[in-house]
Amino acid sequence: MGLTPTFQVEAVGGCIPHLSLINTAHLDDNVPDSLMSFSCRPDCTVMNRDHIDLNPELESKLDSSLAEFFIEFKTKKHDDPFRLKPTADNTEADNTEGRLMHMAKGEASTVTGQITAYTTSILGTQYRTHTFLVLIVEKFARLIRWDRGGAVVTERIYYDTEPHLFEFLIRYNYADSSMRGHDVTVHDATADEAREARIVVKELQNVNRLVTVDIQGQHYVIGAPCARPEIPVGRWTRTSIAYGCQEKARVFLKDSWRVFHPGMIPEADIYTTLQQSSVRNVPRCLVGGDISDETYHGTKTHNFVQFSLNPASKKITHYRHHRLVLDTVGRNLYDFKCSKEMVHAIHASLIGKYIISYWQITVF
Amino acid sequence: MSTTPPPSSSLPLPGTPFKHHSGTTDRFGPKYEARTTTVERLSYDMSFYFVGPVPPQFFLDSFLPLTSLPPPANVIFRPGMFAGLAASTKESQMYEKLVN
Repeated sequence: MGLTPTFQVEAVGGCIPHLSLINTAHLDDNVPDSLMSFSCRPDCTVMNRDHIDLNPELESKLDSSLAEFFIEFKTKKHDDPFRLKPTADNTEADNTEGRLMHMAKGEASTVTGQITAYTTSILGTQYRTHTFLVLIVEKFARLIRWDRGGAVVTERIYYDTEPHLFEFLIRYNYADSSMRGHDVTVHDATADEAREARIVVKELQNVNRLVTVDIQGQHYVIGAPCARPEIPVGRWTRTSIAYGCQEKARVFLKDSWRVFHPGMIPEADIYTTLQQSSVRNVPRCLVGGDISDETYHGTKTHNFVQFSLNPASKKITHYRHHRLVLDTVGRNLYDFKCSKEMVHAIHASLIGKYIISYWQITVF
Repeated sequence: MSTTPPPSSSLPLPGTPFKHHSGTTDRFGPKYEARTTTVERLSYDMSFYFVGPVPPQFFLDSFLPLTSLPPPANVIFRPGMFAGLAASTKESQMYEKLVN
């Protein structure tokens, strides 16, 4: 759709040298892998300047797998999906009048779906703990921070008279990767890692982009994740057939956000208990556990429910990032040769899970 | 001897724990849904997970605290610096006004 040059935000001078804003309103997403049924076209994509310096072509492309966050513009006040006290003329009297946030209907509801899809395209195609989105509606803006627990929305920011939008850009510019929401335990696979992985794991031979995941000092190469048309909230379990750099073998890696509750035993711990009790027919867990600490690898949205009187918001779940690696790689059900094979597999798993483990351990 | 259609008794009974999720049922189904349908579904599903509104200063201090950031350069907000953006009447204008 023609030339779409990149500009620095001159309105804030040279104060955000690490960021570039790209007009992507008419660009299709060039993300290599996506299950989204349509191409997201956010109005403005904020990129890390380092990516542009390495690959100047990105100045005229949209690739949500490299985006920092998106900015969406709306020109009509009633496009704001977040209302405190909806009135007949679809206006919001004042931010301080109440704390009950309603989701608007009609066109504004479409905006909700739109920004949710944009966020999913970032959180789905990257390993991120969280991301932000700026929604600019006419004369005001809202900052939104998304994680696997939900999304925290600010009051209206009248950006021409209030400093918060400006300050957000400045603070984001100087924030480190973790604070920006990047998962620093994942990085692009090195050439050697990628070469070895493609030799050993046939499923990785034709994958466009490989990344290396660090789990307690152990490295595993997997394909970069792809977006799927779901909301970015929830466990977001992502399973991968991986190459274990230590084992030099094909293994199974599971990345998910587990429900964080004192009574819930992490999956990796259950596998450890099963192994210690010599329960058979259970895959061996090579490594596993919660990732890093709570600072960025735990969700934060549940800490803000006091700002919302919406009953639905009270059910916000606290999640914790969790990974494990199994030595056994299963097969898809539709790859089974016959139903007898499947029945045998289920029978074996039932022996391991319910019969032997019931007598030997008490984890269930 | 099989009959066509099969007797109704062979169908899953109501309450059978069958997961009616696209991930388990759509192998031979349509792979794509219309943009409008997806957007509407995402909007409804996400509506339960928005929290706020949070005061913007509290938001900034919670998620991008200055204590964890290097001291910013001489950056000062000036009222009116986004006047062009606020006066925009078209989305395409808004981008230009933000970046220029």
